[in-house]
Amino acid sequence: MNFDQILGLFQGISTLVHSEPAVIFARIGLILLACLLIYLGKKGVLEPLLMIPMGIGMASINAGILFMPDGSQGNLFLDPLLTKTDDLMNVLQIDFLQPIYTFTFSNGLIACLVFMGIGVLLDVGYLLARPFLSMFLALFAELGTFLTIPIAMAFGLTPNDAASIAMVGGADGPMVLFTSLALSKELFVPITVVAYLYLGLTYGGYPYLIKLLVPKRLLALPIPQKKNAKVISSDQKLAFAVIACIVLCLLFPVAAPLFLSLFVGVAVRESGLTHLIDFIGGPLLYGATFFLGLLLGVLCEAHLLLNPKILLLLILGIVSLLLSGIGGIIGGYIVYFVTGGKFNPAVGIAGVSCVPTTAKVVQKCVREVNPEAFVLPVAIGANICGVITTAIISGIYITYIPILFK
Amino acid sequence: MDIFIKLSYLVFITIVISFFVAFLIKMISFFIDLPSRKNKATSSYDGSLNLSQIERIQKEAKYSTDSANIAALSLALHLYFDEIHDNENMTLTINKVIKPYSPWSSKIYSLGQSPR
Repeated sequence: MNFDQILGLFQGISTLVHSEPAVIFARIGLILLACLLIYLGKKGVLEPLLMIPMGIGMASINAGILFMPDGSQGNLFLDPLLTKTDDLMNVLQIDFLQPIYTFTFSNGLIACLVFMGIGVLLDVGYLLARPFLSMFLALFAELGTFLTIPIAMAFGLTPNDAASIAMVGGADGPMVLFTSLALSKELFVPITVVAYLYLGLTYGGYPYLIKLLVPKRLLALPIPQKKNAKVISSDQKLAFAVIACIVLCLLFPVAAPLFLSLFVGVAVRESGLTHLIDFIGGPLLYGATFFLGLLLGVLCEAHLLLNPKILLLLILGIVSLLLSGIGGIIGGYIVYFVTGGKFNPAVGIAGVSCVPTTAKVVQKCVREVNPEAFVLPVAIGANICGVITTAIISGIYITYIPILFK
Repeated sequence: MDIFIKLSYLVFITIVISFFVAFLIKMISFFIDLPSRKNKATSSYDGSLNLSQIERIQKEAKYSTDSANIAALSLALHLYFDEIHDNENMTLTINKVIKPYSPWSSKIYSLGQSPR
């Protein structure tokens, strides 16, 4: 028995040894990256709900490569590039994650399920109390979503690819997944992986941006509460959910699944259907999040990610999020000057719709400087509005980008 | 230049639709609130306290020297925050009731005689 035959017993190692150098380094690099993601998730630097399953999935797929019957290298997890129905039906019975990928991930269902869960957790009362202010801040916080398109096109990406990577600036994972599935199917895996990685980084990176752009004197400003603050009833919130859903679906039918998912969650919450609230906000949301993280990790296979565009997507993703954060703070400053210095400019960054991460980041930064300042209600309103504006932009991009940039 | 014109068009549509949605939110809040505004004119208490009313009660409680007023305010606050609620405490306490003996409820006198 020679060395090759012995090695052939351990196909994970054998496929590594018999691959090109780029693939060898990519596989080992991704395994190490996976371990880093798990570590950062456990430490709380990145979102553990996503990073733990994603890390283990990523490590397993890059370790568990074997030789297929036709001599090529493959795996028994899933094959994302299959299009022929016959091949798909065969693989559905072999690869254990293929059914979940085909029937929930590649058609955007998993993104919609996560959005339903988000809708159930959202209290739109903060948005209803100050709709124009929240919308103003959320629009400025979409600066990255707009400005990244010409930057990406200058680097050689097509308009569809540019719009998909620009959506990372909206800081909404399901929206990025949905938009890139519609506009840029070949790149939706790396775009979505970049999006979810960077969304976790907003918690770590945005506080430094706030401290850099907002001086302590302004950061310590409290936002005075209204004297006769109106209590928003659940009837108002339910009516808002229904009417906003209908109007937005009428305007952008291509994004109707996302609008429906978000507002059905809000409607269920405001209707007081406790069993549905517990189900959607619990098993459905966490199940969808778990499989989303696992599938994202499993899709990070070395052969798939050895795309020369990956580095460019990484850079553009971070540029997009950075510009959105800066835009939000600019919006905060405008409100500060318009109100005669009675508004904390840092609240503007909460318009970046990573709910409720960015709102919590703002409150934490403000509290460090002024423990008595409470800006969370205004920040949450802008945060929730950010979800709606990102959904509107997603609908606009899916509808108009193919038409305008033919 | 062409890209920036097209981008401006997209930005413009986004702004218009976003503020339309914000306007819709304001209108929804206004129309749904209309019946309760009409009722406020006729009824004195609608079962809810807003921030200014709570502050006024707290201020009165702070500065009032009349003990009856203090007791009344305390009870009102206790009832508002603790007693008026939708969720009931699900604890059941079954107290054993000791019934005194009575031949009317004795089983041995009520058992039917078997026919011979």
